[in-house]
Amino acid sequence: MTRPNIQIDDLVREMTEHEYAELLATGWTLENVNQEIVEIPRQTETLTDSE
Amino acid sequence: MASSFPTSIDNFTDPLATSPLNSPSHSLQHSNLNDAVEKIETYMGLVFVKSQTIGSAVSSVTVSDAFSATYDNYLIQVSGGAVSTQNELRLQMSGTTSGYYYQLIIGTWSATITGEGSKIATEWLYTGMGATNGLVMNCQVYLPYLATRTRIVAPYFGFVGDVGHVHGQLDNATQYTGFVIKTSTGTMTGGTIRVYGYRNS
Repeated sequence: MTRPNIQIDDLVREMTEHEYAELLATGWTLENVNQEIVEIPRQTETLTDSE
Repeated sequence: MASSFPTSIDNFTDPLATSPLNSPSHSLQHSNLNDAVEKIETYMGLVFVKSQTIGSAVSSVTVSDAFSATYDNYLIQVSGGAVSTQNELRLQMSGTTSGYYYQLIIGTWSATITGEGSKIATEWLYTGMGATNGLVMNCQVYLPYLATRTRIVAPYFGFVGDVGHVHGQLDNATQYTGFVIKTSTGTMTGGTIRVYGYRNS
């Protein structure tokens, strides 16, 4: 599968395998499987009032 | 006459091509214009910093040299372009990949309110949206270059009749000069990222 591009200022290039692996680890997918609700890898926890 | 802005809008006399230098006074015209320009510089609020055109099929765009000591607070806007699949856009300060606090409050048009939050995210989520007919982001960034917490607030536009606001912060004292805009899924092509600074008075 073709890796997506990455852009740093005006430079656009294909991601390296390592960069792509890191991107996938964040939960990123090439296509949005669920078009109704954008689901993401939730990292939720309860916040207290003092924070 | 000197500029009367901001009390009222100036109405200077325009010289004709055939006007002599003394009617209206050429030197007075310069004086008026100088005064008006100084008023503009004094009272302007939002100042363009830079823009970045989004490339083809990118999952992230890094924008460098956006924040500096010149301004405390900034506005990041994204418009135009398209995405390969609808998604929410995310914002990351360059160099920081953890510890993002965010709280999304979202409601449907029928006023069903929900929310979610985190203080261990890897970026700020829901700071914009990417549709196949265009990208939208309008994110306020507070104090990114100062050695204090960076905070953000942005509207969120969902895809199922829901809208909301996301607030976020980074609990550190890192001074940021750049940021990264990312897709949550798929890629984006085209569109423009614009950065404005709120002029410090």
